[in-house]
Amino acid sequence: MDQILLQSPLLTPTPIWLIALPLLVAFLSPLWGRARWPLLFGVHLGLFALALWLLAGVQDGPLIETLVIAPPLGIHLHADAVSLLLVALLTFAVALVAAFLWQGARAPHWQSRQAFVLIMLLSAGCNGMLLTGDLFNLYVFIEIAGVSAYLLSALRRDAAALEAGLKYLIIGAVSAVFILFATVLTYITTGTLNLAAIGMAFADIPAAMQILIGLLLLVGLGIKAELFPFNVWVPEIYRGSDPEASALFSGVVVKAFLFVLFNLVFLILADPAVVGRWLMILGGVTMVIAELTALRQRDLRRMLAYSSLGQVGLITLALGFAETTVVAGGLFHLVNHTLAKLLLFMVAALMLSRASSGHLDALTGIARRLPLAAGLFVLGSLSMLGLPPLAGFMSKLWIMAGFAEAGVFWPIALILLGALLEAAYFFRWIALFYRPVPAPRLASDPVGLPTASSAVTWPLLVLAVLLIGFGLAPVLLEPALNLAAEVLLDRSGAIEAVMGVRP
Amino acid sequence: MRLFLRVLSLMVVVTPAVTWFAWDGALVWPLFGGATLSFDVTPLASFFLLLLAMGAPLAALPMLRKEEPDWQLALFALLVLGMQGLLLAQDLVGFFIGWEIMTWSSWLLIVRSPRTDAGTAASYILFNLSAAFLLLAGLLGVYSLTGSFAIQALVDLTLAQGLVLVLLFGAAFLIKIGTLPLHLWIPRSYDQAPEPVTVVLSALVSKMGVYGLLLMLILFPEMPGRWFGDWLNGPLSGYGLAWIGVITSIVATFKAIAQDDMKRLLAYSSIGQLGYVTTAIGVGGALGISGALYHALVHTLVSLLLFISFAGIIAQTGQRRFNDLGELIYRMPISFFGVLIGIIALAGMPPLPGFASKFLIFVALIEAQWILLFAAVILSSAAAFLYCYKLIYAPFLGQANSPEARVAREAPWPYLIPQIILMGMLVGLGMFPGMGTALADPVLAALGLAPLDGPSLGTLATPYGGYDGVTLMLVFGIAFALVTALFYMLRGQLRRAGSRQDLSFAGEVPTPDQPLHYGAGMGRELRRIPLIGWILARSSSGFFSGLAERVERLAEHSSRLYPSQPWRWVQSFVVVFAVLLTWGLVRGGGL
Repeated sequence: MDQILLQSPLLTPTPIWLIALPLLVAFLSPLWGRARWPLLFGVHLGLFALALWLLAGVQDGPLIETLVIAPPLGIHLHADAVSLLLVALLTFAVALVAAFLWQGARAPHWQSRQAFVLIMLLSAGCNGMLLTGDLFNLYVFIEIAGVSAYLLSALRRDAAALEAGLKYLIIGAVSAVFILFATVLTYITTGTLNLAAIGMAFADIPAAMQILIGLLLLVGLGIKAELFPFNVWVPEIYRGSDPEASALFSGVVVKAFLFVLFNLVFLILADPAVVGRWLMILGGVTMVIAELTALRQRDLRRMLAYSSLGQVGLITLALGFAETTVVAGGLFHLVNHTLAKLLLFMVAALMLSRASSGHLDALTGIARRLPLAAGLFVLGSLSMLGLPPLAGFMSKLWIMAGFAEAGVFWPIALILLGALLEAAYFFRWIALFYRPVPAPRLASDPVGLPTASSAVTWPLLVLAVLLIGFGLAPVLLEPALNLAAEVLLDRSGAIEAVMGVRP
Repeated sequence: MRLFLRVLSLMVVVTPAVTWFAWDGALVWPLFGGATLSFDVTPLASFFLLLLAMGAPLAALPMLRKEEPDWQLALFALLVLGMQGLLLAQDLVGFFIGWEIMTWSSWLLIVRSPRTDAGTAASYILFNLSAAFLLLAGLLGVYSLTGSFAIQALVDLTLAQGLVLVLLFGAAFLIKIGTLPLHLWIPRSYDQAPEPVTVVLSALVSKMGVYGLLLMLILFPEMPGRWFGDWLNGPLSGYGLAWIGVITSIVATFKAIAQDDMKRLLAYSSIGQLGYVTTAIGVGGALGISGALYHALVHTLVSLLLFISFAGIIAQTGQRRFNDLGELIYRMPISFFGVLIGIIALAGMPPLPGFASKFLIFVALIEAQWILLFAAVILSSAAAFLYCYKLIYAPFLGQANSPEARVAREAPWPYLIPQIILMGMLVGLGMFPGMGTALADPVLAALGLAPLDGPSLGTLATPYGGYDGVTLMLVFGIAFALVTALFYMLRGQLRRAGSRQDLSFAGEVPTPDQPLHYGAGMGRELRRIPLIGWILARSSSGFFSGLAERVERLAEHSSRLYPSQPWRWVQSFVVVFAVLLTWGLVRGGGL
């Protein structure tokens, strides 16, 4: 395994730019004036390209970028095939949300400079979480992403949004306490904060301490990664926030936390099988309970929140199995869920701008007014449910085929049950959208709103094309996903790349 | 744009015909993990592709009317693509992809109709998706056993493996066919779907379940013989299936007689006819499979014809209940002949091909010596005459019972053209009944059965006798011509009633609002017949709605797990953390 150590010359494309550039642009925000949204879009498109370029370079081994002193003493970034894949996904997702806001958001709170800065910080924090090789830095990035997320959810500044923001702040603080405790205890017992070094030393610390640290991390990260029973806060927050913000939470932030959770599990534990099995059970429970609860929801945003929980459960179920095929399928599903959820939340944003509320009754018959948006909602839901020929089907099939190959059938039964429950509520919503309504309900649209045919839909169409494209040709992503799964599961390779010795 | 979409959709709709005539060479499409999707035409697929190739363009014609919305044709094109995909698929994943495209595109067709209520939309999608997920579970089971998704004979299964797979696949296809007690989604969705869509659902979509059931004979070649041995002269494993089919057809037939709504009656009739097909597949053997295929072919033509004819009546009158129609024979003569030919074929009367297909099924049952089943099939086909009678009498004869029925005009050409073509096809097939078995013979060969090999297309030949279709058709044709000629010659001398109200019975004179035909209230008395009344009063809908209610209640309980106060969240985290920590420490050992 050839190890690349770069001395971070300022103007070469290195992973640090994935974190530094959003921070820099955010701090210089007074300079940008009216060009904020194009800039947000452009920067993330650039970061997306950079991530892809770097991804092409880490096929043979991770890229270790030392920031201060060489690891294990100093701080470094650990860019490998899986973290860069996720960085590429998340920057792409942020770019699409930025494009949507640029073209569509007319509300004053989205026009403000705060929104721009917060999204930039959120993106920097998430990229940092994915790339860092240091436990304390991880905590710092979690806080950066967290604080910007709280503020984003309160951005609208009406009662509902402020309540959501405050609740998010409370729950985020609780999560941070758990993670910080785990960090401190790890430092006390192992004497290092470098993740690879912790990975080598973790097996030697007392068993009780291992369990304590493990549980602290599980609760702390489980809250943010939306695993049951730590996800009870999610519907409230998503309900109160704008759908654009929820798209970022569900499509970007949660995915970063899922990666962090599983990266720690696979890096620190010599034998992740036992913990993996527990995580699988946790994922299965998360999925079934969330899908069941979603049946009763009467608010579009709450319904999407529960569906998001269900999908996170499914991804956890797949990643917890710790077997290359299933993990590759799980990563594929993670990608598809981000794409489909972005699509659904942005469609929800369009619909909420027309309807009086997100309630079932207010949205009945909305397809008459927003035919394209309703059609895209159908497409997104079909992918979410895992119906062919869309991407969500291919990833679910991939996961289930992996389970079938291994001869493990209970996850398959759970996944199919979850999908059936999911179908019950998604199809009920679709049926409502297409219900014919009496004429008086079809009042003319308020002036000044973007029409569904305007430029605001092109980010949605890009997502739709991707969902269809990956559904028809999953081979496009297959090499990247397989490599990412191997790298994620390859503990000794990751440790060797940093420490120079195999564990 | 609109025109472009229409032309494109129409082109897609005729693709099954193009594929059927001009397919050569297989198509392979890469999936992940080295798996591929491959498409090709097998003999079995070719038979059902022919049904699709005939049915799709005919069903598309009524959708071309200006009154029908744009999206209908486009979604129908998607549905046709899905069905074609599942027929051509050489592997289970391709089959499943086609199956699911068929499921959701047909659901979207139904749900956009103004008449569809939430319960129908939900039952359609939930039954069909349950079928699909059972299928998915089955195909994953096959994958775990063989390591491949290919549709191939699975040999050397243990009994347990075989039974699980057969149950998964079988349940999936029986839901689609709509056998009892899994038929609930059919009557309401056929009833509430837009009229042109119901044609497609009954004639084409339901046949895909039949295709799947026949596919199981390829997947599990050892099933008929080795697993359980024989019962009399037929396979014991098929005996249960045959009974499921017969019970379905009996119950559906009686339910059909009791219906007041034309499309609901046809929906139940459709369930009943597919019950015969299921029975025939259960009997198996050359005669049984041939009878199943033949009956599937006839039912496709008949349900196209009947549903299109009634779609025309509904479009012209706006009425869908028998009691609101009547006397349309003068106003819609072509539709009258359409329905007449349709019910003759549906009832299985000679000389039309419904007789030929039922003949094959009867002979197969006799060959297997399953006499009780044979008697049950006879019972249900005899009872089917009653609803066939209602279908022709209530709309066309008697007196017109609504203002719309009094002024209706003949259906427009988009309805009449397919009717005329289908009448021609049915008469032609009745004249040359050997054509059906000739089409089925390649399938029999592919399944490893001896083809029937009729001597000519004009005769239907079985080892137990047959008949000459040309002669039969000539006899009936001449008799029909003679009677009609006699009627027209004598017409002048018959006394015509001044009005159809000009009669009295039991000292009473009917008022104009009293429906004056024998079809009115027909089936009401059936409830007084002991066993049949019991059947008609029962329904499995209670079970399924109870299940739905339970799930809803469960969902209500689970939503309590998500409180809205932050202190409850933190409290629950701390409790969970403490419990897990205690448990972990007591258990001892590290991670």
